[in-house]
Amino acid sequence: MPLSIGDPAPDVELPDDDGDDVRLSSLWRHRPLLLFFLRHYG
Amino acid sequence: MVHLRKDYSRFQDAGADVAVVTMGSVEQTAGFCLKHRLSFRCVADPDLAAYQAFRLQRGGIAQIAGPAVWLSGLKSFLRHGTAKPVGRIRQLHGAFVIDTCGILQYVHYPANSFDNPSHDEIVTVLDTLPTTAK
Repeated sequence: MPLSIGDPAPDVELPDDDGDDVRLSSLWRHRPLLLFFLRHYG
Repeated sequence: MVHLRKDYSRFQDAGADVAVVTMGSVEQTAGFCLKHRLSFRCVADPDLAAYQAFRLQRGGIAQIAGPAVWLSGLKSFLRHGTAKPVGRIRQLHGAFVIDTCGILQYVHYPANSFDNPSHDEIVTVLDTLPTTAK
């Protein structure tokens, strides 16, 4: 079941491109966040 | 990717930060973001924990390679060439706007692999949100 507007965003900890762990919630704490999940190639 | 990079300033002007999540390893994610000159936050999710938490689905064959994507796929190939896919080939993408309270204000679950969110719609949503700084 997809998430809907009004639902709380899941908070997951992932490494960034420097290898440092980032809690996703830290990214929207101060400003709204536009979060893109990619299908990436090369 | 070009459009995302091109519209980054629009999203910032609307008061938002941008982050991308990829299915690659940390090294693959770093290489990808460097190659595409992405100046926003890039995070790696090779185990798809966030993809699953945000309920992004794996597409069927029609969604990934069916007629609805042939023309878009051809255009993309002609424009950008091709490269080896990283991550699960059937995993679909998605886009979300999250406000400073952690609530989803916009969600985009694609109908197929070339169904991308409207940046105009996203900016419209962002313009309605309170920000600490614009």
